[in-house]
Amino acid sequence: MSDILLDRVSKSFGENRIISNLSLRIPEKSVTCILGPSGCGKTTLLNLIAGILSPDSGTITGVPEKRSFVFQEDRLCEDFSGYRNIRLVTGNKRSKEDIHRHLAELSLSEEREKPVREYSGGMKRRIALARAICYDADCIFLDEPFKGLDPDRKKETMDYVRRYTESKTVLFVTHDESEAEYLGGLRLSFPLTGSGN
Amino acid sequence: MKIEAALKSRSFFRILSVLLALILWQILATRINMDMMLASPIQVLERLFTIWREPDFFSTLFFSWSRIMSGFLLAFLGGFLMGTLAGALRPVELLLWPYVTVAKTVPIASFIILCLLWLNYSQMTVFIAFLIAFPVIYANVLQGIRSTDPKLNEVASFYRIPWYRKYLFITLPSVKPYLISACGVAIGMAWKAGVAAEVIGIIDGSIGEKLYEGKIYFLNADLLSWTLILILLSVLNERLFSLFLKGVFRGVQKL
Repeated sequence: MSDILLDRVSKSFGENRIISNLSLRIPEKSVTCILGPSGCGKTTLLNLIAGILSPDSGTITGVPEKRSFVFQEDRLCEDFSGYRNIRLVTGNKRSKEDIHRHLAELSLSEEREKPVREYSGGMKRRIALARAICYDADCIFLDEPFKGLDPDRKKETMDYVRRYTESKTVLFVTHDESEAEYLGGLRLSFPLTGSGN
Repeated sequence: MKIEAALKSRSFFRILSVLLALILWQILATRINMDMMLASPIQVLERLFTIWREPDFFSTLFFSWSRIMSGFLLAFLGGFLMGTLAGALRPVELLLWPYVTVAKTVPIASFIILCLLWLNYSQMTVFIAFLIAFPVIYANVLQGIRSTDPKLNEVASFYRIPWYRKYLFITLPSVKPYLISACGVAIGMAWKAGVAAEVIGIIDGSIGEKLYEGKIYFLNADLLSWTLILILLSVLNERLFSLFLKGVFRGVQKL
């Protein structure tokens, strides 16, 4: 593995230029928080690095092959239980007991067999997070992962993320300074233009 | 309180509408006053009590049921398979387009008459039931696949979920409501078209033949009794198949 390198990356949607000529080095095996107000292009940058979007110009290199993503929306199969949603991405690589343990750490033991459509917004968010963590990726992309969690749950969930992301490359988008502070690591504040580290 | 709840319930209004229809039917039959033109509900009910005792009753039911449901099942398998293929591969959809359009738009009577020339009589019912049900199943499976949430597809490709797991757990749940409602419609249509084929072809030992005899011998109570039996069979098959499909989908979810 190596650092993730962005070299003069630009991205526009129609006439709207979101990212302009951006060069960056994102260190491997550490947390990088991308901060900034809503609509400034944080998610676009995350999607570009994750390979979901392609840049109009410039290159992105060094992104680990095995990646997981907590999208801004939960993107869960509503008819399936929380457990089954996680199992869908892990396959047989994780045991049932292991997934149950992860759910217990997020206080979701009681609900693990209920269909996701019966979950609250906060519960769905935690399932999406557990899915990304259980996938056991080398690089984890988190797009506002603590959105909609109450303060107690937020702390529990942030501790969970901290526990399982040591020695992994984590890219974390938020507009909440306190979340960035809690998870630590490098901070990139929008607007980002030109060269940076 | 209980009376109020009953008045608000859907089943209450359903029963009420059936009763009103029966009253209307009875009034019409009394006004016309000719059994051979319109038998009364009571005459039909009396005939229903005797018709099932006739020696060929169950063999007639089985004859039509086996052929119509065979046609439907073939359409179900074919429509499901081809709909899935067309959902995955655009050229398959384009290749099938003329056949599906012909099956959807050409009047069923034209096909029945062509079948009288091409096929033997016992194959004809199967083919007509297939022909009427196939486009319904095919179009709905395709629609279900097209309505799969693209964001879930993105999750599947991001997490590199194997194609068969993606199909079972992301695509199939999206196809489910379309398929269940399509089967309900297709079974009803297969029964209607299948029996129409039997009537036009005057196929020996079929329900269609009984309806035809009802017409030529002016046995209106017979004709209406067989029609009621047809409705019951169609609804029963529709419900049973819907239960079967729901069970299959539940089983897939537990895989």
